[in-house]
Amino acid sequence: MKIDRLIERTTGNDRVKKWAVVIAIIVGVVLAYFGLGFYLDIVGVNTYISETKQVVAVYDFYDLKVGEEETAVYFIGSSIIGCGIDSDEINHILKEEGYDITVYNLGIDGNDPFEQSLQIQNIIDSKPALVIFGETYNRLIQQTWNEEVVFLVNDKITLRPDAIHLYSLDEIWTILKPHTYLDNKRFIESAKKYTPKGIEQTDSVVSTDLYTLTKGASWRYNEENNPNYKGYEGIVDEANSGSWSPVITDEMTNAKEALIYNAQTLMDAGIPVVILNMPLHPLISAHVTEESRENFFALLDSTGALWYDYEFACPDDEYWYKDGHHIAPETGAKMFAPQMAELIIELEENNVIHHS
Amino acid sequence: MLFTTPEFFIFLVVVILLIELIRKQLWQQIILLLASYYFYWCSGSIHILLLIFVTIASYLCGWRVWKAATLKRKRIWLVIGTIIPLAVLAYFKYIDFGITQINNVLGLFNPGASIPLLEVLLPVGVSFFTFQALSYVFDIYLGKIEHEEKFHRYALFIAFFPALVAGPIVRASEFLPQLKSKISITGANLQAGVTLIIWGLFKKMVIADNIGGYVDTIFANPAGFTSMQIAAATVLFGVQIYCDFSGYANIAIGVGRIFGFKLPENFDMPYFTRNIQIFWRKWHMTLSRFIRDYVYIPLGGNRKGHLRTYVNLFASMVICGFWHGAAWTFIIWGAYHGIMLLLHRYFVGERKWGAGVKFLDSNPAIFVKVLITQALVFFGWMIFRANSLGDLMTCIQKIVFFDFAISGVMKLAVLGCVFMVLVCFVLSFNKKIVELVKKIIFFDYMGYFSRQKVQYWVIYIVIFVALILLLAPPETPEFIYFAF
Repeated sequence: MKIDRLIERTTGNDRVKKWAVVIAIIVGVVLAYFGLGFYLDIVGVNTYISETKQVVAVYDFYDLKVGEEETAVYFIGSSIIGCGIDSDEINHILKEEGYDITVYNLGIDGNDPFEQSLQIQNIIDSKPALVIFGETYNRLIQQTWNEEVVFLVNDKITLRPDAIHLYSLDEIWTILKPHTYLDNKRFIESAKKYTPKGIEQTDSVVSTDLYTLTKGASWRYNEENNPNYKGYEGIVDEANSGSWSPVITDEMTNAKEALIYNAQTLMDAGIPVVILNMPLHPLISAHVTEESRENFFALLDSTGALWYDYEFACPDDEYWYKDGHHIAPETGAKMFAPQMAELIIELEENNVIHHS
Repeated sequence: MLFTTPEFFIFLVVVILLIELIRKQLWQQIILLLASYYFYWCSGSIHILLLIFVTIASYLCGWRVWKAATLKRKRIWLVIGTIIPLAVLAYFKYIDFGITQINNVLGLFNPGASIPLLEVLLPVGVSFFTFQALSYVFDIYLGKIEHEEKFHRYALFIAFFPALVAGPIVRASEFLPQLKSKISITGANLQAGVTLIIWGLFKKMVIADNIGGYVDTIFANPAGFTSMQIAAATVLFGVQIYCDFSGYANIAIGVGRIFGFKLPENFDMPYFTRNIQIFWRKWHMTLSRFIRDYVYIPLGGNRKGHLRTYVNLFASMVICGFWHGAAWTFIIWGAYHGIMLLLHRYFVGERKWGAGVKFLDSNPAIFVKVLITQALVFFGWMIFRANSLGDLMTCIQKIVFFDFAISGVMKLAVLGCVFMVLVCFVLSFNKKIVELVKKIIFFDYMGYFSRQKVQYWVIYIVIFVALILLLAPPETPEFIYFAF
């Protein structure tokens, strides 16, 4: 009976006006939409994203425009840069040698030249004195779009007119379509389990190592505990997997096209560019064909940028490599740092680095 | 253009605004027709020509049937009007299946011989609009309707966008009379329509789409999973297909309702039915009645003796299965349901098993009947969902020779389900509880929310839209029945 009375009291709209229904729909949808946003805030999705997503930290970093205040050198690339560049050690060496240059590790896991092309305007606007791209053979095959990366930094990407030819219509739509916080709801479960580290970046204090910063202050590569550590057997398996041979053909791919575009666009904007062929474990190098190397070097020549071959820079030593193509961050990167510092000093002495 | 995308809602709002602004009946119908063609073009591009061809061909055949002076001429045009849509359906849907079977036979005699597949792309909604075209010609022949003089109205009946790609299969006798009056969007219809749309989106995006991933994983490789996992995936698929298909139907009916059109219901609580005959009166009702009126009854129905009745039943269900897709699993599924209907008819209809036994009409007995019926229906879903005959055999083996390899969480779930069933069975002895439960289950929720005062109706919108936004997966798969 109570239910019948409730039904009777809450119903009865045979003559409801259209405008009342339309207003109800709009009010309902808006309340639902903002209510969900409120829920995402409570769960801490934004904190989770800003503290764990490298790409968000890198784009936030570009907004700081550190190049206006200092001579900044950016290392840009995938995890091969992320793991291989110990910016703290390099900065320490440069300071000891009397050079007022600050190096930043802007590696993003999975980043390739195709994704890097989205960063170009942001890089230009942040005015670095030098950009160093770290590449290796397997980053230049035909790449597919990583939608999550795009929507995480959607509001910061500037689609340059001269870059449109690099993308398909779907990819352009991914960049242009408005990003709403609904795109972030996929992180709800992760955010619930995440303990905020309180990582802050202010104007005066900027971490030079965004790669490890955004994995959380407690993240450190640990040879024994890190499940990614493959050991010698793992590297042998990787070498024999066939993914490194042949790896670069003479056919154009979107990644190659993007690498050329990235280098030339930065240089046209007055920013010097250097490309590094990053170290590979000797077992992996043994599988890279001469044809791949020739094609790769021809590509690097065609960019017009300075390039250096560090493929064989690191010995076959258990402390240097995490796996076949990543330098071990805690040990190898430290040992590789002097070579990087030496390179930067050489570039500085040769007036390659641009001082504003 | 999927119902679950923002593009569809923008499209819908534009169409509603145009219909509201333009008050002339003819122009309203033309706008709806053009909107429907645009909708179909977005879904199937070049196949819109096929839609137009079927529309014109069936309209002309219907006209000729109507105009024919003799029965013989009527029949000739009926046959032509039947062959054309069926030929279209057969070519686009079944030609490669037919070639594959021919190749299998040829392979027995000459291993190297094979006819190359045509790899024809299946036009979206072809199974639905060809059936609607067929029903028009049949109904004119049977004298149920008159020929529609205004071609644009007939074209709108065939192409009406809410029901175009996945039903419900609307009869001309249901739809064409509604076009005789001007379209008027009222507040009540708008509220009722939006209520249905939101409910349909909830079923599809929150329930069906979240289940789909698990189901697809299991059925992609059943050999790699335990019997319990296959059983769970089968149950979940039953839920998925119901929520997906009925969700689509809700949206279609809701959109039609906004414009003041009443489209037929397609589902009526099929998973609470107590026997297989009632199940088929409550599941995909528009297809069931189509098969009944245009296949089963013309074959003779139950008027030509017992044996012929069973043959007609079985054939009708095999055709129903075959309609769903060009694969042996669909045919076997149809045959499976045919056998069950047959057995039900024989034992319950003719031998009158259990007739006069009072206990069998009691609530506990009905509860058990529902459980048994749904167990049989869900077993059928396993046949329906299997990707191939090989996978089907694997699934059946695993169910028949149950391995009882159950993980910790699954164990709890199974125990929980068994406990719930036992509790429900015990409670079913109490008539008051059963009446209350029936009231709750069979209450007309959509009717209630459709008639709510707007200040309360806002709460319905907030809750369900928030749940959809929160729980729907980022990528929305197509509706399952688009593939048919």
